[in-house]
Amino acid sequence: MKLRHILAASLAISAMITAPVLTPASADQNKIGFVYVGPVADFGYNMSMDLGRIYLEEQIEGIETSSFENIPESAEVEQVMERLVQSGHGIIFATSYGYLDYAISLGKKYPDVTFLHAGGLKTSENVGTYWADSDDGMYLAGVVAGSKSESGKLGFVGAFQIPQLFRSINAFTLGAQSVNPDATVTVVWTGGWWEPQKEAEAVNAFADEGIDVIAEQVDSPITIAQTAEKRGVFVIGKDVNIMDRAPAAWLTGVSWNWGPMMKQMVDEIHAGTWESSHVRSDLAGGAAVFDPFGEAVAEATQTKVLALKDDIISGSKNIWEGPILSQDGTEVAAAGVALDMDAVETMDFLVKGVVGSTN
Amino acid sequence: MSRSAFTTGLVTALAFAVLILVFFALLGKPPFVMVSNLVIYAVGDTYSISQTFAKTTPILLCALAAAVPGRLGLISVGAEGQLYAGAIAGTGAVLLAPALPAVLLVPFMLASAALGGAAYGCVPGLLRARLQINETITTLVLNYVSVLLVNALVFGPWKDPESQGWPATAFFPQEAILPSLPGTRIHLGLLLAIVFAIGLHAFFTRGPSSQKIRILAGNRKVGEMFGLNFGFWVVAMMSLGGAIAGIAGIAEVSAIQGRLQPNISLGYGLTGFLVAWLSRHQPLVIVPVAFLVGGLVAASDALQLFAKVPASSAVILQGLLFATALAVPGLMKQMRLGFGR
Repeated sequence: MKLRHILAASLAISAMITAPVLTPASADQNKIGFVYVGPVADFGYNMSMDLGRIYLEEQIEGIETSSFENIPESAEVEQVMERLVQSGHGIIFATSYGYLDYAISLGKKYPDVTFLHAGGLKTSENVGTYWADSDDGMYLAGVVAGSKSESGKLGFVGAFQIPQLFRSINAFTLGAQSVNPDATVTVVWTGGWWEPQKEAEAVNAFADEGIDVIAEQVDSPITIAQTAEKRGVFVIGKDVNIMDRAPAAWLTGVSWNWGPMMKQMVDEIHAGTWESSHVRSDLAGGAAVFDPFGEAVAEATQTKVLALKDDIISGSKNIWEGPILSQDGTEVAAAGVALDMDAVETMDFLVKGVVGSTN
Repeated sequence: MSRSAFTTGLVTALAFAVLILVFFALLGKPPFVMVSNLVIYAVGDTYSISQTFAKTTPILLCALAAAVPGRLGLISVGAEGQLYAGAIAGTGAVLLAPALPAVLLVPFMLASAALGGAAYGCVPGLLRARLQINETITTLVLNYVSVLLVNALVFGPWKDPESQGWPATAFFPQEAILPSLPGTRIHLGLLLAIVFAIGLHAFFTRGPSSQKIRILAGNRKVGEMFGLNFGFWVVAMMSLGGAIAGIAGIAEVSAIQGRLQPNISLGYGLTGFLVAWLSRHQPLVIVPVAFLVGGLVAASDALQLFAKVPASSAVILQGLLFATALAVPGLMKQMRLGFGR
């Protein structure tokens, strides 16, 4: 190749840059994009979000949705979301925790586009967040687990040491300790949302140690539930109800129903009344769902837990009411005092009885 | 370009085109619309071109990194690991001296990334030169080590205390961000990569050492009879390749991610290796091939958008490209020999 050719090639390239064939479409609020961190068919978190997308398509006329799966929580997601913006999408659901900073920085660049982030703790003018607190459900699941466990030793498989996870683990532990004050919860961190191999190893290690009920918060309960089924230990599900995949191991679980919440936000955006905020729901709101009991749960436990669930929904029971002690024995909430919303959302400690580190 | 090379290229392109048309048809999508969409989403507008160059840059650098030892007949698959090693060393420089002005910090960061990558390439080079340990195996396994080392650092000592448990360093100061064309992801790394390609072309074709390398690559024993030191050149080429991959690493961290975190490379090291082999280790051929592959990678990202097909389709397309590009020339050679008989 001669210098002449190189010059010609670089000229051609610069011509391409300066003469765009397509102009970016303007933001169309009927085009809604979804970005997922894992595969849609994960029988877990991403599937729960995609069920929300399908609900939107069924419920709102005239919209068109697109989705990207397997997008890592790196600058890659910024590029994917920008691709959605460039092709005219006016609403983008950024459904994974690590997408938040990228949504905020893109939001500054494209003020006409609305970004809706799942579970974030920051907002900006056009970036709002939505989440359903599964803490209440995890507390109830903890009561079921604490009643079922013979060893009093429970396990928890978690992805990252972030507030969402600390909340789940603490709620689960407090629930278990409400029926068995000596119950302990051993946590294993996998360092990733989708690490089936590590998840299976963790369940096996738990079972070898005599831990007989395992809860989890990773992308999908499927690996953990099926491994637990094989090992003859019990499992608490999360994100999607997969009771039929592990019928003997299944105790209960906490799953999502994002559809109505997503629809409300999209309706507000279409009506022009949407304002950036932290939209939150819970068991009472209906976006978090307490799953049906498995066969292994005793009748008495079921009755008790359902009564407790009614108390939580009616507001007469607050699961974050003290006394709550952190791992090293420091009092986080005194008896009769409940943690406020802010303290819960930025939770950075594990309660006494949890075996595992916060960093 | 000789006539037979031109024919081979043409047949490869045709075979690839037929295969992707069949692939889309099998998926139940209109094949010609899909292919024209691929082209539009690779180079159709400013944003797509910016994306194509953003993917081209690390692929091009990693391809050069594989081509340099390749000129000596070595098969190094270590660009991925060297990329991560460069990212670590470059980030270390930024963490060490975050207050330097950009004119000092950027060169310091680039130089230490190059050194980090070079050191990481040097190790398998030394093992090969001194102990005759196969460099393909050592570079392959060392890839895992530096990827995990990044995890160890960002989950541990380098984690931003304000990240609420998220595994990443703090964002780089503005002074440590490689300059880019405004509004795009086309950054200084691309310019460096092209300069490297031209420099390497000159070095391997006209430089004072070009003859030595050619002799050693052709026949090591003959080279050594002439007094050439094979071991020296192994270490030198492995380190030089590592340095280039190290630049790719810090360029991704600084210009694209803005901080060190896991997943900085989407398999660029391996893609680069394949590009280098497709281009027969010729730096000036690598540039357009890396651009084509970068375009395919960027456009197949968008495949999920316009074709509504699962993410894995993009991987299949890239696999088809490399498989045809490696199989067709071999098949054609075989056929020519067959006809000649």
